[in-house]
Formats: sequence, structure tokens, C-alpha cells
Amino acid sequence: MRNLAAMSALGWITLFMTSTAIDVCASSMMLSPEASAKVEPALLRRLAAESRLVVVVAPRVLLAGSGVSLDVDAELSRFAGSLEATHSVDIHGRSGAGLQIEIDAARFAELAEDPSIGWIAEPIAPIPLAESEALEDMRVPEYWGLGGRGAGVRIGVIDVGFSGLTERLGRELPSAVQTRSFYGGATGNGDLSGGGESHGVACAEVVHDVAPEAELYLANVSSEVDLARALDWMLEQNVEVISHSLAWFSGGGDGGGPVNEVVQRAEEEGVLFVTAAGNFATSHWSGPFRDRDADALLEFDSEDDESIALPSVPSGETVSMILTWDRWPLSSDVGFDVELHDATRGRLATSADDFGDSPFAYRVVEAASPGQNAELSIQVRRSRGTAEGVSLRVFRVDGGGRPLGSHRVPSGSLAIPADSPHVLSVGAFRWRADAGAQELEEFSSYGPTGTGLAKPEILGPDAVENSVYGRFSGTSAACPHVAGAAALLLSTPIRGGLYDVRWSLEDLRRILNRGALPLTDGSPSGAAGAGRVRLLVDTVGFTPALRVVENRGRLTIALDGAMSPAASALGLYDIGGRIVGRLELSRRDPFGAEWSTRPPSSLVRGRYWLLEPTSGARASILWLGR
Amino acid sequence: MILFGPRGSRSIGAVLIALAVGAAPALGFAPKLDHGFVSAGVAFARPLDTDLADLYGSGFSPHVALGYVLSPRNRLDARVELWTRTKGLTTPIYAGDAEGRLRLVPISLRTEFALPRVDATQPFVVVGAVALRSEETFHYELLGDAADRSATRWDFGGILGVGVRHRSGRYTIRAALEATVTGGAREVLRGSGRHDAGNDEDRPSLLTLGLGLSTR
Repeated sequence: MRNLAAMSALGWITLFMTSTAIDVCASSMMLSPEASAKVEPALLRRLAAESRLVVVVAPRVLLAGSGVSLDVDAELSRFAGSLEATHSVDIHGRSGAGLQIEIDAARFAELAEDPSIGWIAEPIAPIPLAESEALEDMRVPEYWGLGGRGAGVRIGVIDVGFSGLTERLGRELPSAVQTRSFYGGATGNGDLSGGGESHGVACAEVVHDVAPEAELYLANVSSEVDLARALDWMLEQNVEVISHSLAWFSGGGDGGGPVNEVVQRAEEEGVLFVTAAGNFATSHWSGPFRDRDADALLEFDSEDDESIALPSVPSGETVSMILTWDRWPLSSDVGFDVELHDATRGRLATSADDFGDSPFAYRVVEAASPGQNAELSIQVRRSRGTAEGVSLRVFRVDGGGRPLGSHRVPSGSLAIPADSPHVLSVGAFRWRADAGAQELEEFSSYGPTGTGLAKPEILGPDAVENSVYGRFSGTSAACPHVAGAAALLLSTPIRGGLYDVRWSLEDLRRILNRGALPLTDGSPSGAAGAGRVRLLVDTVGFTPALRVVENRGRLTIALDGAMSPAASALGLYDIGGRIVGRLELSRRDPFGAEWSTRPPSSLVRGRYWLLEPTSGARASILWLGR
Repeated sequence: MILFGPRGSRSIGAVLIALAVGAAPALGFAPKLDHGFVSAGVAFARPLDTDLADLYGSGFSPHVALGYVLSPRNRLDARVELWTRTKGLTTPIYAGDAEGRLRLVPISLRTEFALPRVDATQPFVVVGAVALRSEETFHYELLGDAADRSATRWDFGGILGVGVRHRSGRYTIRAALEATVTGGAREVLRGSGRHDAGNDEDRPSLLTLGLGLSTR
């Protein structure tokens, strides 16, 4: 009892001292052996860091195992009264056979010494679920605050498979979703897992992260016919946005081909078809057929190189290449084959073995890699007809698009249907906590299309947390972020008397375009579209202004007004968009932020521009030199 | 009172109205020219639905009708009304101003049943069937550009009311309080122009207090 009184007194005294002193009082060192024995060890370790504790306490009588039948509710009610009277605790409620209470850490020792208490533990916390970290950067929580959480909007996700769906319902996904499987030609009742593929679940999870109150309609497909059926079903269900993170190759990259005909129908029905641009910027070649030496082999460059080198892969892994050309729906006048070669073993495989003289402008060649030492390459051979004026595209698709070793042509690397004018194509930027460090993914495909259309229109974040992949990367991850953002926009309609007026497709595109922030990483022209997706949560026309503090000797820029977070550095760009310097964050407080640098003497006087990527503020500045 | 469902049975409502119109002569009411009348008037109308009333408020609604006196106690008329209101609408923060205009056109077939006369005044109850055409037009600005959207639809329902009329020579002056109750519900107007059922039950029903003058 003396100990208890002393501790209690010390507790009161320490309330007026530093938290460290409180910690000392509450530490397990002050507990008797009997008290320590009934406190969960993890909780004992936590005592030193908390001034207020939430714990679960169980009465000794319920733990005693005396065999006497007890009325648990009555015992807990009695126990609660006793705790309140004796220890001044706040009782949160019943937790199993105990009570969750909140108590000052300074009084914890007194509580632990109470002989009526049998066990003290930490509350059992739920396991945090995977959620895309990019939501804040997209201003999604702010948009939720405006009332837009996707309620009343139906989003379709079309993918290859939804393996692992059931166990995520009610966790990473809504508790109920609508599903149909058209996989393998099925009419809605096929294998929803798509042979064990969980890519669709990962995409649906992202959509749900962004638009948690939207209704999800999931369909898996394995062919263009399946895709058409899936679209029909979604149209019947009044789906308004479709997220499609798949790449097709049945087309010439000019917006044509059977898949593009399907997605065009979505637009005609007023559905926003959001599709991934593709991950092929480093694994793609395209160009006109040229054969100056008339040996039927395509020359990939002006130096008449007739092969593309492929970095080797471990023995046994499949190397897979796709060749298409702009003759759709039928290539009756000309045919090609793609061949896979090894420098020492010669030709490993040719698409002719599988495709023969197919009238379709589509070939695949696959072979197992002979090993790390293999010197792999491909060649494209004209098999029939006159190839003059034919434009070809070559994709490496193994490993999700491993880079080519030579002749990479990033432009025009869009997968189908990202080349369609009837879809919203989404490239990927690598999400970073520091908004100033966001950069275009090197593999993110971009246009122009065969008809000269700039694509993608916008970028979504990738490399975000996901329950399926851990880190979900690629334009597959970027696409559902944008689809979810579109659903949020749709869920905030103009509310009339008899109608909720949803934005039109054109409206949606314009809102997304206006909200997007350009990347500041000097990405190739046209590769990033309008920039990274970001929801408009401000009044139109409001853009925080960057203010020039000094522009001679040093360059200092300020952004006034409370904002959080501010980018750690700003890029300084010349008029051609080339980065010529960086301004480091020198001040950040509730009144704003400031960035500064001392530019090198080589920086010539003239006009430059800056972009603060967090707020979207931009400024054109005049540098007056050193 | 007859109430019809919001969508599937609209055509049934239309058929019933048509039958009622067509049935009058067949039921023995051989038309006589001096039994016909035309009337015009104006009513002060307010939507019965609270949300609709809060948004668009109340307003005057002119009407015209062609009628026929079936008997001293019973008259039939076909009426067309027009109720139009314009109001500013709430938009998402990034959008500009928006304005909505709701135009309701109830087309009704109604029968008045006379109650015992009070001096020179004839009280009556009125019942009828109504086909209500509603058109809501939206004008909004988004990111500096103006846009217009509109949607129309038909809802069907019934009319119930009480009133008094006073006849003086060829002219009859008439005052009535009527409820025009229809089916229908709030809908989602999509960008494609298609509109589908929403979650709420805002109905374009009206409560009207009207004054009219008719002449034989």
C-alpha cells in the first residue's frame, strides 16, 4: 500500500513535469512483480511513450476458471462501476470478456496493482489494408470532403482474371460486386479467375481506393469477342466508367482494328472508357517497311540494320515478340513473319510456324531462352506481297515488356485501344511522397498514334501499395486511378429538380485535363499528356501564385499562403522545357514556402519558368544574372 | 385516385385517358353544341414534393380547357396547363454558374361532380387522370464554356380537388384547389442524354389553387 500511495503521489506531481518524468512513473519498473505479471509485455514496452493509454482490462473473477458459472454481463457491469469509482478511467465499452478503457499513464501503476484486475492488454487493432498512397496527391480525400465518393456511379473493370476476389470483398473491395465471366468464350458464367490471374482484382482495388462508394462491375475476357460481350453486359447495367488495364495488339496503331470498334461503341453509349496506355515505351519499335538490299528483311534504321538485339534472359524463360502492321481487318496484299535468332544457335523460332500465311496483320514468335549467354535478336521478314508504304510495329511482351536492346522507338508505343480517339488513355508516373520527384515511368507508352493523335491524355500514379502485388506498377495501376477519379466527378452532379445532371464525356475530359499537373521531369513531348491526374477542388481560376523575391545574384521564389506539403525542390526550365536548375526549399511555415538557389554564372539572363508541383502554381520569371 | 407506375405503365395511363375521351359519346352523351364550353384561367401552383418545391418554389400556371356539360351535376373537360420556373442550381466548386428551368405541362381529363348548391354557388369535387409532360433544361458553365442539356419525360397520375363555381349567364367563374399527383422519380441525366432512374423519389406533382372563367 505504501508503494501504491507513493506512486499515486508521484503520478500527480509528474503531471506538471515533462512527459519524460511521466514516463518514468508509468514504466513497468514501478510495478510490483504481481502487477507486472498481468500486464501484456507489449503494453509494458509502450508505457514509456504514452501519456494517455487505451487498454483492455479483464476482471480476475472471469479469468479465474473456478468453474462457477458467472453472468459475464453482470460481472462486467459491476467491474465497470468499480473501475470508474476507484481509478477515474473512461470506459469505452466491452471488449470480449473485458472492458476497453482509457486512463492517464500516470495512474496506470495504480490500476495494475488493483487485485480485482486479472489481465491488462492492448486492444486488438485491425490490420491496415493496402491503399494507394497516391490518393492525397490526387486530392482524393479533399474531393471526398466535397461529397464526392462515387456514390450512385457504376464502374466496370474489364480484365483477364479476378482470382482472389472473394477474400477481398468487404476489405480491399466493396462487400458486394457484380461479376460476369466471358473468359474463353463463356456467356457470363465462365472462369472468373481467368486461370488464376489476379490482375483484375488489383485494378478493382485501386478503383475502390479512389471511389469507395462506387458500385463495381467486374468482367473477365480472353478475346475480342469476349470484350464485346463484356461491354454489352456493362452497358445493360448502366455502367458509366470502364477501367481497362489490358493491352491488345489487333490493330495497326492507328485507332483501327476490332478492339477499337468495340470501345468506340462504349463512347457512343456515353460510357467513359479509360484504358492503360501500355508499358512498351522501351520495348517497342515502329516504322515503315524498308528493304534497300531487297533481301526481304526489314531494315530497322537508316544504316540498314536488319535485327533488333534483345537483352538475354535466364535459361528457359520465354522470349515473346509481337509484330503487327497497318492492314486491318485483313492483310490480303502483304504478309510478314517475325523470327527469333541466337547468334550461335541460329534461328530459334519463327512466327510462320504458328501463323502460316495468316491474312491477319498479327504475328507472334515465342521461344525459350537458351540462357544468359545467348545473344538474342529478332528479324522481320516479308513473306509475301509488296510492302511499300506498310507501317509495322514490334513489341516485346515477355516480362510485361522487357526493354529492347537496340532500336527502341518510344513514340507510337501505345497498346490498343489506347490509340483510339474514343478512349481516355492513361500513362504512368512514378508516385513519390515528394511531389517534386514525380517522374514519368520510362516504360509508359505514348503516341502519336498512326493518325497523328497525341496520347495519352493524362497520367495516373503507379508504384503504389496494393494487396495483390505489394507494389502495383505499370500503366495497369495508373488506369484505375483515373477511372476512379472520373467516377468521383460523376458522383457530384448538378442537382436539378427532377434530374441529377452528370457530366458529359467531354466535360469529364475537360475537368480531368484542367486539374492535371504537368510533370517537371522533362519528359518527352507528348508522353505525359496534360500531366498527372489531380482532382479540381478549388474554385475555377484559383491558382496560387509564385512570387519572385529576388532574381539577381540569387533566385528566390515564394508561394504565399498556407499549403502543405510543399515540394522539396522546384525545377527551373528554359523556354524549351529543358531543366536548367533547381531551387531548394529554404523555408516552409504556415505562411507559405520559399525556394532559393544561386544559379551558375553560365545561366544566361532571360526568361525562365517554374512549376510548384504540389499546388500547381507556376510562374514565368526574368533572371537578371549574377 | 388513380396512380400509375413511373415507367412501365405509362402507356397504360395514356390508353386510359384516350379511352375516357373516346368513351364519353359512347356512353350516351350525345354532344350538343350548346353544352360545350371553353375555359381559361390561372392557378397558383406549388410542387407537392418538398425538394422540388424548395428548389423551384411556387408560381402561376395558366391553363385552357375544352369542356362539355354532361348533366346539370356533371361536366367533363380536357385541360392543358403550363407551369414554368427558373432557378439557379448548386454546382461542384470547380464549375461555374448553373441555371435550371422546369416546365411542367399537365394534360388532364377531368370530371366535376356537383355537390349540394349553396345559394348561387355550386360546390363540386373534381377527379381526373393526367398525363404530365415535364421538361427540365440546364444551362451551366464549366471551365469557361457554356453548355446546355435538357431532358423530357411523361408521367401519369390522377387529379383530386374541390372547388366552387358560380354561373352568370353564359359565363361561369370557377375556383378550385386541386392536387395533381403523378408517379415518376428523380432520374440521372447522363452525358449521352440518356436518363435512368435515380435513388430519390422527387415527383413532378403539383398542388394548385386555381381560378378560371369559362363560357358556353
